Parts: sequence; structure tokens; C-alpha cells
Amino acid sequence: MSVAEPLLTVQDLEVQFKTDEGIVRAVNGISYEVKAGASVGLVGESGCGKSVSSLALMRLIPQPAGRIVNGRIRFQGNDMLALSQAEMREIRGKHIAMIFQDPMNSLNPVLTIGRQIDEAQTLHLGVNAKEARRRTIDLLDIVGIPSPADRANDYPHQLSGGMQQRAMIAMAISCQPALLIADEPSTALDVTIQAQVIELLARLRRDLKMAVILITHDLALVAGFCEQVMVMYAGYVVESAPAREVFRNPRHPYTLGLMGSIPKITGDRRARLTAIPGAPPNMVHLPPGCPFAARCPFVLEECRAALPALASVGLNHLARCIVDVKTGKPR
Amino acid sequence: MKPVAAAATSTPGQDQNGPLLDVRNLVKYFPIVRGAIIRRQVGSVRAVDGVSFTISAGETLGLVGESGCGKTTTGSAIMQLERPTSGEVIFAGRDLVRLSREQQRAVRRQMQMIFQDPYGSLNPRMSVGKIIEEPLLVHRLYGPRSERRDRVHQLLELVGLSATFAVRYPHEFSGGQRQRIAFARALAVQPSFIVCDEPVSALDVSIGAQIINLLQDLQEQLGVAYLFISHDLKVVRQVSHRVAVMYLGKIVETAPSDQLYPRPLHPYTRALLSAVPVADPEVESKRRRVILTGDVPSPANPPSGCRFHPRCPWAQARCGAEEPPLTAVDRGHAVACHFWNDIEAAGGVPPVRSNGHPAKPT
Repeated sequence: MSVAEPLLTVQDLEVQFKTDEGIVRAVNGISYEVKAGASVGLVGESGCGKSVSSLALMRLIPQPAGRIVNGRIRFQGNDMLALSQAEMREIRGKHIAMIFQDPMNSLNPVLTIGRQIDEAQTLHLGVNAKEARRRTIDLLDIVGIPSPADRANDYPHQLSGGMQQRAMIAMAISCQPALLIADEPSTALDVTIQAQVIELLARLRRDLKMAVILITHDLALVAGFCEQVMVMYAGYVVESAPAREVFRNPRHPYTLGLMGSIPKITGDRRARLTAIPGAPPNMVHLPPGCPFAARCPFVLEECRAALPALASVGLNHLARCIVDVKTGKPR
Repeated sequence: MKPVAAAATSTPGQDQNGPLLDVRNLVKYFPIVRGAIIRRQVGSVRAVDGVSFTISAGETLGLVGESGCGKTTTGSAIMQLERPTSGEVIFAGRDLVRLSREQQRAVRRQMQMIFQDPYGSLNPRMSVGKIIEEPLLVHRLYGPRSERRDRVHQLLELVGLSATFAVRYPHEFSGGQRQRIAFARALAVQPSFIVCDEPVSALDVSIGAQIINLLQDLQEQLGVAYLFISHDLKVVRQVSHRVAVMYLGKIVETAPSDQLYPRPLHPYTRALLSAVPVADPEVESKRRRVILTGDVPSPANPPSGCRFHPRCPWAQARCGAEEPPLTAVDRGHAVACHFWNDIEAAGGVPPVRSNGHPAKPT
């Protein structure tokens, strides 16, 4: 692995699912890089492919309905799509860890949380049971669970939602992974608990020098956490830029619409939200042109004919749109 | 189109005949029962513990709080879906708690409810037309069949759907469309008040914004009042004229939206507002968070004194001993905190606590 190579490179990733209605084109050729220690936000609404694209990184696409039909995934110099199942098991949990929205469904209800966190370490790090438990208690302490030695003997149902998510995070970081994929980690939690969990993730990223991919529907969450943001729509990346750039200078009509849809916490309360009309397209019958054309206030004739390319619109700033949203005219 | 509900009156909050809804000291306890052979009550969950507020015609009150704070129970106790343990729910001058089931039914025509889950709240075996028509039949408001059909079509168009949808079934619609159908059903009986319990929480952001706009449009056109229950402070600000913040079964602060958001006074409101993510990296990098430690205690065994004191960064000895009453501090602004004045004077910066956990800036 050369020094310059990013931690993770995804190229032209395409994922499809066979369903009764036809082939669902969940992810339609996305490319990005994650550098060691970076934080990348993957933002979009339900069904935009944000979760599926990261499950593909772990080769966890449900088989046989789902299939990676195209693309390359390189992680730490490995071609992830060429690895054997055994090699993948070595990477999952040890080098790439994942946390999900619902901690209650991700934890095994019949094992104590200590036992579950021990297991990852005895498996991947080859430490003995005693050493694993010592580390587990330390991990629970790091993620802010009070009286960690006692809590390690608790079953998941004995913990609150926020504490369960902390336990999940402790498990995820137990082998000091180079990459953590956090899929809506705080969505099921209350506002104050959500702030705690996001703050914890930010601290751990710094302390462990771990890259984080944050998958969320909440554009605002990304603003405080991520350096790089990718906005997804209907299986495509429609905009990609450094976080400040996305918020200060959004260049895709969907990103603009998403921002207009979020109520503000300051400013004029009487201004109506500029909601996006309509609904996302059916992923079985994606239109030939831009998938956002039917809902787009800037739509031109050409938009419906051909899919616009993801083109550079500024420094490190890409947008899949032929219109300049500032003037409403073709770029 | 003929008016669907009472036409919008003057500006909200200006009724001559008192408020539309007056909730006084509302209490709802759920018994905790043990034992298989001899059932006995061993305690109670104090879900709503003495809540009072008013809502005027055409006004929206936002009821905001985290899960388990009692906001949903408050909504169902007002609707008499749960019989309140005590307290009064005076709607248009009549105390619902004291009415018989039959009398309640007549009043309830003017009160409707929208639920969070648009998948669970519509009967999958009924066509959309039947769903919207049902309240007309229940309340015996029906005329001839053709009149009812016209009314259903009119309601569908009112909520932004095509009249042709009446023959289709709920599974054919997306979450946002279903929520519109739920609004059409609620509006069928021309209510003057609707309880909206997390109506956009299950929806995507762009679809949620459509429903928020619909809700506001309907209020402008029809003058309907809302109790808007939500955990989302941003959405609550957008729709509410006034806001009440709940914590563990009590209202801890209430104020007009335009006062509450720029000037939160209760430590819990401060913490909630500081935890809301803002879609602006500049703001996010500068803001100071009041990060609360710990979780919400059980409402079966709430803390003594101020219920927030175990998590409050400003708590003092008095807070654990004496419960602060909800006290008016400004026009329409009331707060239940012994020390709101001192906290505000100190600029709302939490003190470093003796246990070594300062509220850190993030």
C-alpha cells in the first residue's frame, strides 16, 4: 500500500436487488475516497441508497436478491470484492466496524453486553478471556457508561437506548478499526441523548484516529460532524463537497430543496418551508434523465433526456446538474 | 368550495369567550400491578402529573419533550382516549371529564387526532373514500350518498390529493400521501381542534416539509386550532404560536415561540435547544452545548423536588427538596425553576461541577 493511497476507494459501485416488481437499482455508480482519519457524511432520504452502498463495503448485501453488479472497492490496499469469505470476516469488525440505528436489534438479547464485547476481542485480537474483560470494562468507561464493571454483566434490555448505543460503540471500537461506518447512529434517540452520542463519536474519531462514514437523513447532523459531505438521491451521488461548501454554496437543486425543508431554529418563523414537491422516483423504473427532474424547480428539457454527469463546479465540489442554481440557466 | 370548518376568526389568542381548550391540572397515572393470583397495585407511573394550559381558536400550541415525558398521554387524555386520573379538560366551555360517553361523542366531533404512524392509522381494508367517509357516518352527518361522495372528493382536494384517489387503498400510497389522507379524515367532521401527535416524525425531511406546509395552510383556511406534539424543536418552532416544554410529566416552561427560542430560561429547555443540530458548520463549530449527563429517570419513581435536578448542571440543594412552581416571568412566559434568574444573569454558562464534569463546549 503506497503512502498516498487513501484508506478506502470506491469506484463506480452499482448494487441491484431482484424483487417481484423488477430490478431495483439501489446504487447506480458511486465513487468516493475516504482518507485515514477523515469524516465523511452520506446524506439522503429513505431509499436513496446510502445504507446499501455502505453495506456493500462490508459485503453484507443480502444474498441472493442483492448483487454488486459493478465497481471496485479498495480498502487498505485490498481489493475487497476479490477477498474470500474468511478474509472478509477478518476485516469486518477488526478493520471496519459498523453501528446501526437500532441498538436493541443489533445486540444479542440473551448475552450480557460484556460477553458480546469480549467476544469480538478474543476472536480478532487473540487475547484471553481475562484480558478481554479488562479491556471491555475500559471500553465501557471510555464510551461513558457509569460503573462499567457492573454494567458489563447487564443484559441489553437492562440499559436505556442511549446506553445501548454506547455499548454498541464500545464493541465497534474494541479492535481499534481504521474505519467506522455509523448508519443513523442517533436517529432512534432523544435530542439530548443524540447530542451525547455524536459528541462521543467525534471524540473517539480524534482519539483513535479512526475514519468515520456517517450515514444520516439529517443534513444538520452532518454540519457539525463531517469534513466531507455527499448528498445521495435515487442511488446517485448528486453533490459532493467539503461540509462548509455544501452548506454555504449548495449547487444541486435537491440539496437546496433539502435545506429549504428543514425548519430553522432562528430567524423569521413566519416564512413557509420551501418543500420539495412530489416524491422520489420508483427505483425499478428510474427515468432515463436526471432522477430529480420531476421534482426540480430548475428543470430544463435536456434534464429529462440524459443523466447529467457528476461535474466539477468548484474546488473539490462536484454536482450532478446542468443548471447553475444561482441563475437558473444552463452552466 | 364551501367552507369545511368554521371560518378563521381574528388573530389567535384573542377570544372574547375564553380559550377553546382549557386544560387544568391534568393528571394521568397508570397503575403498576403485580401478582398473578391476588392482583395488587404496587405503585403508579405518573405519566402526566398536573399539567395546565390553554389553546385559543385558530392557535397552535407546541408540546415538546423527549420520549416518556408524557406529551402523548397528555394528548390522549385531552381526547378522552385515556380517562384522566384527575383534572379538567374544558373544551368550548364544557368539562369533557364529567360528560357521559354519549355527551362526549357530540363534543368529540369538534376534536380530531392525527397520529405519527401513517401506516398503522389507516385501515388497510377500506378504500380511501370509505376511510374519509366513516367519520361522517359515525357522527350521523350523512346526507344522500352522492352528497357524501362529493364531500369526500372535496376533502381529498383540500389536502392536495386527487379526487380519483377515493377508490384506491392505503397500501397504494406513500407515507406523506397517507398523512394527507389522515388529515382529510380528521377534517371530514369540521373540527375546530386537532391533536397532531408527531405527524411528521415518520416522514422523510422533504415530505415532512410538505405536511408542515399543509398543516399551516389548513389552519389559515379553516381556522382550526392544533395541539402539536413533537420531540423536534425545529418543527415545533415552525408551526407553533406558543410552546410548552414537558419533562417527566410536568410543564417546565411555556412561552410564545418568538420568546422561547431566543430566550430559553429553564435549564432543560436550554439543554434541549443547545442539542438541536443546526445545518450550518459555522454555527456548529462555535456553539456551546449544555450536554446533560444521564438518562431521563423513571416516571414511576420521579426525583424529589424539581424533577430535573439530578441532570441539571445548575442544581443546588434547594432543587432536591422543594419543587419549583411554574411562575410567570414575562408576558406569556412562565418557567418552573428556582434559579432561572441567576442562570440567565450568568449568561447560561453551566458551572464546573464538583464531580469534575463541566459542560464542555463542543
